[in-house]
Amino acid sequence: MRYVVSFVFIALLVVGSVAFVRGAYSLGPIVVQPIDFNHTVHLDKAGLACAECHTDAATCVHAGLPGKDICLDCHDIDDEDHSQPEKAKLFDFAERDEDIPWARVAVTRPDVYFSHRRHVSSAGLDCLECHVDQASLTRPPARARLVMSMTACIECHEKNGASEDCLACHR
Amino acid sequence: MARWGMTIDLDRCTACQGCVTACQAENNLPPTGMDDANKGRNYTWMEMIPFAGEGERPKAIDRLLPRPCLHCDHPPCVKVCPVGATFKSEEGIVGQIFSRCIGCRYCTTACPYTARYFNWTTPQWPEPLAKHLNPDVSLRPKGVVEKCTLCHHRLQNARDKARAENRPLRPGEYISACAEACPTDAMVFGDLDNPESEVSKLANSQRAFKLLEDLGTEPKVIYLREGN
Repeated sequence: MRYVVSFVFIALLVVGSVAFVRGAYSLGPIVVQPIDFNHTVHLDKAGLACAECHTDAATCVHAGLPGKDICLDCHDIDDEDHSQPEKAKLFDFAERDEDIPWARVAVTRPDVYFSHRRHVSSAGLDCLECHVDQASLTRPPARARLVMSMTACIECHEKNGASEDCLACHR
Repeated sequence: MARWGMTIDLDRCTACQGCVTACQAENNLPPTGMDDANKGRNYTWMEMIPFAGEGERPKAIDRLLPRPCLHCDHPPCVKVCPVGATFKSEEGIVGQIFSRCIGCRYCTTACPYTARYFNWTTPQWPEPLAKHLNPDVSLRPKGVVEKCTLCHHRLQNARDKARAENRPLRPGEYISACAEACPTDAMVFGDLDNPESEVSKLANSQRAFKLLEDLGTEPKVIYLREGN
């Protein structure tokens, strides 16, 4: 009896670990960004729109991560306070003339073709319809917070009358 | 709704195999290793099928027939797939979703044109090729069946561009890599249902014939026989 219980326990442990690792993997790896970027400050306080920094969202497959020049369009290296640690990091990159090595967080599955252009400019979706609470983030996310399941995609496609042909999204 | 297809003029085709190379580069087809090739496991979505010339030798000239997936209107491969990994789209393209394929190979057996290939080994690209992979086409793993998709990613890109510019898709904007690369314009690509298109005129010409027509698969890749 004791052996049976131990066997069941070990089996559950193995199954649980596999499920946990798979779950963690599906959300992508944990990443550390070079600057603790605050989305709330930029969207709410500064009143910026997503596409002002993610400039390729309406025209390209990838929305794009902002280079330092985009940041320096608003942030003045001479007038602003260098004692704030995150701003200091930005100005450091600017002084060294290096681009900010943002780490990509959200990566689609290799068999799926996801185009921002198709969703933003053709379908006219608002960014926050998929990136639900991105505007409320005060720190950059460590991993993709959005798990795009096929069910979620299909639900939206059904609702909006978009193509449900497999080839429209799979490649 | 368009019905995409292609004609291949055998009079113009010089069997240069430019279409084969273009297809391999466009669709991330890895070079088959020596071992696999010796086992008859080499695969090219666009394959040159040799056939003996008519008449007496040595006058008879052997020919090579370029053969992509023929994107049948009644595809036998779709009927046998147990998991729905292959299907015919609304526009007539026979698609293959690699991530859904379980590698049972029923479809490779059912296809009368041998246009489907099973990945026996993990695909590998030597260093110069690995840097030139097409990001629009997935890299298929070992254990799945793959085939020509009529470069449907090109259709997606062309359609995205047209939508962004708020206009309909122009004729000739979507063309497969093989047809684009053909130096003698033997391949003509387009909408078979558009009576004004060159491809539909050629497909309805006297010279048009379909491979293994008696099977009733109704291929949308139509050959034009050699004139005399």
